[in-house]
Amino acid sequence: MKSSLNLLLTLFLISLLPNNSIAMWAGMSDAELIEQSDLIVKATYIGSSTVILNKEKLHLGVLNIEDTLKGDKQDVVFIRLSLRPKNFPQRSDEINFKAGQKGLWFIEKDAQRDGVYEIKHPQRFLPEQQFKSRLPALFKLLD
Amino acid sequence: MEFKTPSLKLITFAIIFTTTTTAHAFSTFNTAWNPGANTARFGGNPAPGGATWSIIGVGISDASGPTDADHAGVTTSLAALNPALDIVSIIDDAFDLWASVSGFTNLGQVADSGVGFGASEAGSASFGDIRIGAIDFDGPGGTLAHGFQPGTEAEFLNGSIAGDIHLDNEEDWGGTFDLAYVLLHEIGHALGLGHSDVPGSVLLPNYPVDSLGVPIPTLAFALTDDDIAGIQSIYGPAVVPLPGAPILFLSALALISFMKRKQTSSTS
Repeated sequence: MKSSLNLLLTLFLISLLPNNSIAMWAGMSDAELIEQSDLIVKATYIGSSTVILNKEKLHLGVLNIEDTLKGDKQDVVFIRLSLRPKNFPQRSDEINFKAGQKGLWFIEKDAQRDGVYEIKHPQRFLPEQQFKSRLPALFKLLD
Repeated sequence: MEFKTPSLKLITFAIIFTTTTTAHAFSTFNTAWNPGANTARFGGNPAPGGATWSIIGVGISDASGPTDADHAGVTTSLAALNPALDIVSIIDDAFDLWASVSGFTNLGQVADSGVGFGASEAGSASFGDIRIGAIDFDGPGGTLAHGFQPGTEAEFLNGSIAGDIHLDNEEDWGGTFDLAYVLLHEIGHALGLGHSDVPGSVLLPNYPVDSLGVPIPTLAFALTDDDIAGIQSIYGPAVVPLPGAPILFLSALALISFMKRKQTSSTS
């Protein structure tokens, strides 16, 4: 009894912690998320680096993929992050990730750059703690 | 206080933790419209915690240097987002609402000279601290609008884009999304607030939807306790105006009369 109460309280406290998303976006349904994703992967965000690709300076984040639910199988994915000059004011719709973030990623191809992907909506990352309960419904939509 | 069981202790801790967490659920950027820092654009008058605003006209492009494809086009008419609405009044009301609960002062609308957004200030007083315009972002859905954190060129070394607000001109601002609500949200960003996770807050990242996931077309034009705590953490509480001299005089008369009557009744 006491342990279940403690578990309930712990879950309640976890639910109060701020989530990851930081503009204002229109929400997406699961069906829209799946349909509008070129790649759906279970992966961990490793970190980011600024690189020159085809003479263009890009800031790329790297995802280490464990499992691919939709799209071509690959080991890593490069996602384009906003590249801001130093001392540029923060914009409300910029999404940043932290190394070690693990979960389900719903990724779009960057229409301008081959081999590069984008994540431009906070719902495109579902933290590991949340996706387990939603996997059955998502798999149903993927069929 | 004595705890009878460990669970009770945990419950008490949970309540304290909950209170603390919800009270600080808002987030802020690290800049604001600070005293003396934002004087370049309105004639050099120091305005502690105040900002002017202006409407970016049509055909204006991004002059802020390397940004991204979101700003590849030029601005379109803000009024055309929903011709049935008086958008200028809505913006003014939104600034006033934030000002009514905090030490921020809405210095009102000023003319906009029409230079590229993010252009160098270069001593120009010809546009507002916060410029608001419409531009194509990403088509319908996705990002509805964005705002930049407050500040000046002196702080960011990258032109005047700090504090500016852009609305996506591809959205259905008439029937799907509440323009006034989104403006209230973005002005919160322009004044220095980040996103909040408190249900009902104007600064939630996603536009509110109903139980079926459909965007609610009309929302309350109001701030929650969390929004108010956030803005007050930056600008302090609202300044309550002192009553005018006639009211003070009448109040004093009423007090004297009350005290005299009390004195008379106690002696009789």
